[in-house]
Amino acid sequence: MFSNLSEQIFTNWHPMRWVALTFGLVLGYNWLVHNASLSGALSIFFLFQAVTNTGCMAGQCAPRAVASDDQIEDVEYEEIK
Amino acid sequence: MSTETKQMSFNDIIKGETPVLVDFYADWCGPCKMMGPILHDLKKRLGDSINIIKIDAEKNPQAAIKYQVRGVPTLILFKNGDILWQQSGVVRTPQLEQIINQKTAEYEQR
Repeated sequence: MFSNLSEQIFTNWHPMRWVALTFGLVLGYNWLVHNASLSGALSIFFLFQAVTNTGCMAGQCAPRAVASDDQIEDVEYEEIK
Repeated sequence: MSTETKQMSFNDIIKGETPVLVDFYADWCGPCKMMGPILHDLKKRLGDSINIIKIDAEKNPQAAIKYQVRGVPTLILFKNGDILWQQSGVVRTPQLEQIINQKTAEYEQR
């Protein structure tokens, strides 16, 4: 579980994740300096998304895909007919 | 239009002569749900000239990691095992049809 968690936190830093982190930090700064509670709530929301690599932004979502021992040959798929 | 579970292996299907459009998705992902009707519409338009398959990125993490799927939906176009095009996010049917035709034509000219 913890290896999955660390992999989730430290890998796959795609551009939208950096954007979420930046939003989170800017809003967090605004919360601390101006005591803006709404900024605080939004800051926590964006920081959670950035750190855990979850949530949907810009028409796409971050999959919770971490490495496993499954073989690439065993890919399950559905075909559209 | 319907979906069918696999009959060939994934590696066999992407190595085929017929272009294969692969949609990496997740069950909980809202934008991925928008891709369903788009892909069915695309299949109706292009018929047997393309194979369209959907892969759950979370149930198949090795495939998602191998193809650097960092967001869902991610669309990848394969032909003869080569990746012709890859993009994350929702793509509308006319644009998708145009991209597929363009990329396969470019591949044929190589």
